[in-house]
Amino acid sequence: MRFLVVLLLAGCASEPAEPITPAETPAAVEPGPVVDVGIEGHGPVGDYHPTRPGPDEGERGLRRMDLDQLSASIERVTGGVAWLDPNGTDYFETYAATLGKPDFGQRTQEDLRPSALFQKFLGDAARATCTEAVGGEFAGERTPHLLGDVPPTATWATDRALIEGNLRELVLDFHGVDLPEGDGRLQPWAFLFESTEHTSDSALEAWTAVCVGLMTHPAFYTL
Amino acid sequence: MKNDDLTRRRFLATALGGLGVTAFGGLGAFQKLAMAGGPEYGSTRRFIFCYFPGGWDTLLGLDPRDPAIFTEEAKATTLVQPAYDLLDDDGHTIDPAWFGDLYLGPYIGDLGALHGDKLCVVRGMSMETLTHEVGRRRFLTGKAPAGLTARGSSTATWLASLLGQDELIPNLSLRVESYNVDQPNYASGLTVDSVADLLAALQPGDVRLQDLSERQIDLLLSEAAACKKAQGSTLWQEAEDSRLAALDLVESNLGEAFDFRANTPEMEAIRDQYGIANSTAGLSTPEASMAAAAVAITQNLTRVASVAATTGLDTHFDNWTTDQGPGQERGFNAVARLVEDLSSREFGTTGDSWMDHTTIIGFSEFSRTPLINANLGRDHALTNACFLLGAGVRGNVAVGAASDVGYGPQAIDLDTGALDPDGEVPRPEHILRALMHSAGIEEDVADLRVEPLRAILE
Repeated sequence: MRFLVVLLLAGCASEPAEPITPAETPAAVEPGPVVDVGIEGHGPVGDYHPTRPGPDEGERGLRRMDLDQLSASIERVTGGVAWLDPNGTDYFETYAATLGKPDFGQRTQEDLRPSALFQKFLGDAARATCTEAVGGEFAGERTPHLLGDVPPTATWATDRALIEGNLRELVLDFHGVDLPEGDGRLQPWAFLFESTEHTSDSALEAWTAVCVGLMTHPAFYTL
Repeated sequence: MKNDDLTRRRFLATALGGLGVTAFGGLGAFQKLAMAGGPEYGSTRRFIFCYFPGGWDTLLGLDPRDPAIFTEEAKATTLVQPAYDLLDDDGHTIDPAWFGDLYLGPYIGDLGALHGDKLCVVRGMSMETLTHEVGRRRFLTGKAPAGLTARGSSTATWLASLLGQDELIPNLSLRVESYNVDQPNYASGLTVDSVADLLAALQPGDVRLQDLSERQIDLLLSEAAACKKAQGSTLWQEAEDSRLAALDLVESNLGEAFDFRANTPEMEAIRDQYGIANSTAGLSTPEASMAAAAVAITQNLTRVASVAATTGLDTHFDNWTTDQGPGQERGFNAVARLVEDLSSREFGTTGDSWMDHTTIIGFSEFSRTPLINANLGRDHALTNACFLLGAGVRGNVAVGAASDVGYGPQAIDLDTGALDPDGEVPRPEHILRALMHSAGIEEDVADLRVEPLRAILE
């Protein structure tokens, strides 16, 4: 429980120190005077200043990956593990219609909403592929990819710097964010590793949790 | 299985409210007011939309013509060719028949024979399009699409938004499109392609981490969604809302209710009622979808369900002679089974049946040309018909009429349903507005800009 409380407190402390975008510009600028242009002598007609941008305006909005992009991305970040059923069929193909992939008969545009169904199947895909990938690397059956240079025996207590270094690599790989050493944005991921390792007493579980967390985070499946 | 627990969704809504996040961000004041007024409707009404995909031939079902009058010789004058004698009938009756005051086509199936007394048919409608997607989306939203793009939310979404706050899956859709452009996330359709996919969505995945690990991930994602950057993104907020809803669905352990393959007396009864084969393929049939809608409605999981009732109605060629009639009949029979199912179940301890609290709407994107084409099929025609039955709807009545010359739409008095040159040609929005009206939503919250077709209401 101690870990959970710390995580709650730590969550937003790891906000990135990014440049302020128009969407985040505080409402500090006073509007200029109302210009009374009148209409055919009818007097003032209102404020002609443009409306302040909404929260998603002023910067490029997030857009969800389509299924093909998502499937390819999962294979890329896991070092080649796809989400397959026992017969080797890609689950993303099995659920394509339900997940809104166009069939060009009934549907011509892909549904890119991050719907409950999308989240359910993304979560299933993340758990299946991360478990297989991390488990395979721990067992020596797969070339180290998610683990990088970190040996399976490494623990937070003894190899913190090594683990943090690999977490930065994973954030870069999964989210495309290159975190410099000491960047606060690594904190939630470091904490996820540390707390999961603590509660499960398993580095395998901790790396799997990190992989699942990174894959189900919107930064992974949006463009 | 009433879900009175504090679900993640409600927790989230409460939490977001506490953080000052507007769940309805970006909506107009009028719409916010409309949604804020949701609970006051207090309606017990449920809705099931039954979609007949492909464009049905209403001469075979909802709006036939007497072949003794509309003969081959007369077709040059009437421009209507029932052509029942061209059907590959395979022993099936090819004559329309009277069911009380309703004259219905030869493939109306058990819906006419068993439930004609409850049936309300709207005829002579105009879809104002010959394009599948446009007609379909017009009927779903009550608004003409912009190109092929739906404008506005589905009526199912509106109804789920206004009436379905307490259901776990307020808006369930099986093989029917669903749109939500201006309603809260909880009202978005849970749209699946088959009952098998619905099962997969409701059951835990094959792989799961330890409980505490799952909780750590959950908290990390929740915290990330509560941060400033995430709060500035409607997509991120929708994603988080959806993630929590997905967890709710799995935690609610609903999968068993839809596992029609299970060898239990309850599932065997459902298979018998709807004619579902006990196989994986059986879960992908319209009958299984219909059964899923019934389960979702009667177990208080869903306020509005949408179901594709049949397949294969787009018959431009000689498949019209073989597929159109049986395809329609399959859908009508599936609806008949649904009506029987709902009628046999008591609504709580009220003494009413579920059918007394459920309105069923059957529709297609348009109908087919009244003249047979050169390929022994029928092409798209903008005249249409639809049917309703159940709560709030008049029984054994036809409202409006397609013209006897040319089978075109005709204006009617919206209050009486009688032909009236000074009235309005019925369109989907008139019917959708009436549905909302019958559930107590009298203001035009969906901005349909028409009066309700009161003639269909009790």
